[in-house]
Amino acid sequence: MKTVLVRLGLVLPCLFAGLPACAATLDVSVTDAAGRPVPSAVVTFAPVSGGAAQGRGGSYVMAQKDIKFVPYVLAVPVGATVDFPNQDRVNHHVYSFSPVQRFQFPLYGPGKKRSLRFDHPGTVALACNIHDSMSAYIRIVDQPYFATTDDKGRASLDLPADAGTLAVWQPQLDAPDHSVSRKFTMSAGAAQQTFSVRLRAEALPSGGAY
Amino acid sequence: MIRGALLAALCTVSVVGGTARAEVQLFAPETLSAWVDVRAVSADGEPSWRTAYGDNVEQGGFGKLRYGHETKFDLAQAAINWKPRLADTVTAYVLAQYTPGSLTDFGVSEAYIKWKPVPASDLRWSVRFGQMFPPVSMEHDGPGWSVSRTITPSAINSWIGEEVLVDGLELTVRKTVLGQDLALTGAVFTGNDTAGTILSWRGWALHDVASDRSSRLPLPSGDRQGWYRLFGDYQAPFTTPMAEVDGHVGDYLRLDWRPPAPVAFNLEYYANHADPQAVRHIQWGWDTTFWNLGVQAKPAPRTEILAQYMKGRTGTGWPVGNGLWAVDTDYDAAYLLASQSLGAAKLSGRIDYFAVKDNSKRPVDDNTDKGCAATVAYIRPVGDHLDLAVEAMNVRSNHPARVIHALAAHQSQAQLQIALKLHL
Repeated sequence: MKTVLVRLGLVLPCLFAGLPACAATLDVSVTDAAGRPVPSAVVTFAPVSGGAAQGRGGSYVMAQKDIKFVPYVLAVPVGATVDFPNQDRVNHHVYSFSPVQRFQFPLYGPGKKRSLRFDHPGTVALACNIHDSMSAYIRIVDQPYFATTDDKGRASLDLPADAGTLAVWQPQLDAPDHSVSRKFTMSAGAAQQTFSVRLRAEALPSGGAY
Repeated sequence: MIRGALLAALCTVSVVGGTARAEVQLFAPETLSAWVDVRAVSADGEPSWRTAYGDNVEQGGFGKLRYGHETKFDLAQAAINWKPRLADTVTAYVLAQYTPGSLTDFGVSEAYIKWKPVPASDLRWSVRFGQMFPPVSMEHDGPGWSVSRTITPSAINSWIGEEVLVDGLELTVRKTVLGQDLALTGAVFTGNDTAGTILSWRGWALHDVASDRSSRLPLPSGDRQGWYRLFGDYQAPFTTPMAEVDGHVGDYLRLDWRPPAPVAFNLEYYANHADPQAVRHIQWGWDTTFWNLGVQAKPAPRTEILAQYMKGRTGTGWPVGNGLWAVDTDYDAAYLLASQSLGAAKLSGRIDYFAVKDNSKRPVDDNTDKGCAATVAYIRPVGDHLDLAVEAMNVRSNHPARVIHALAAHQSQAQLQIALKLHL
């Protein structure tokens, strides 16, 4: 019974969204050149039949907790509103100078929340003007299917049987626009795809008080 | 003057704060911190350089460490760190400390205002104005200008804490260029004309007593000392690190380079432009310059390597020919520190090299100093408000001026410290 409900849960959103019926689950695994899992990679699938990301009513949250942004990478559809709750015991001053969407939330304290709607696809790099070590990304996608890899470098997408482009974006990915893609045709039945990507080494964080 | 400006700024913004601008935060848990650092220590060898004053003439004053020839419990430091937010992008920073055993027990180590506008592009910048340690030390990244990997800083950064404290206006500009994170920091300053005094006349030392505005650091004691035979009563038996002697403005410039790799570099040049012939309140100007090169590397996620090399020159007094001053020294020092994180704890080891070369070669005032040190430290939190640190170090040095006090020029010394730091 539980299995049936889960399957219904997968199919129904596809029907209501007016998209082709979901064929099955695609498991995507992203690893680096040394075979280590790559977390925080956004996997998207754009079917040739089209379909844009839906501005779903789901809640999207980029929290500030323990002087960090959580999650490090948040994928949202174009038009989504993201909440920025301060779950810390200190103030934060969140901003971005990314051309996709420049903004700032001047100083706000523990327990408070700010929200912003993201209307253009692309990447918004986040920072905090008080805590230099804080950094995160919001990836705004216009593909109808997307998911973010977990700590094991894995993501699952429920896809229709269709041809299209499967892409992976990750902030440290060493490629144009930090993204790689391939043509892919989803057929009936579960499928697996593996991406081996090269990551750019990150600079050491600037420590100290200056 | 700096403190006056700080106070004025505080009052002004407090008034603005009265109109319920939420960004002003003068007193809140996150703006105030305080700690007490108590030690159990045992050290052999020479008495500490800090004890060389008044009646302790025969002790010489060349001891290299905070402690020497003693076993005791000690209140090492009590400090308050106040970091009020004056506006969205403006903060102040005040660090006041109590360090018993110094000639002046209480003082303000740092007091400055920082303006850090919200970046509108990849070009980020900030300004600091007030009393501050120039950003030389890579070890002092703990709260309140404290070191986080050992109890005792390296020779280089012990000296920064002793004698390189300025009233300055500092601008930092940061930008990513071709994937390289670059930052340029430049400052002009006053009030650091005596830097070089204790380094020349006492030599290098390794300890964690940082100076403050009212600090007086004792010079090697007694009438037979070289400095006394040259300057007599025209030099106080102590140096005040923040003295402004001649009105000249000093400067420093630092470049930080963080390539996309687990390694970072910094290079800095400091010059106080002091007039060696100027004297005020029986403190002389010392024309002091130095280069400092710093490297940080993380060869593994939990392993960190720090290294610095400093090379400089200082001089004071009167010309004695060949472009030399009556007291004229070259100095250099280096350290290599490796630190391994073990859960919340940290195990670190460091080796230090240090030297002062006396250019004037006056037998009456031989300021030659040369030595090395090895340090091992283990630091771990033992509660939300308590840190435990254990450190053992050994220092060996050759300082010919010790002979004046019938001490052997070559000395070796070991020091063991157990520190408990209780912080709010």
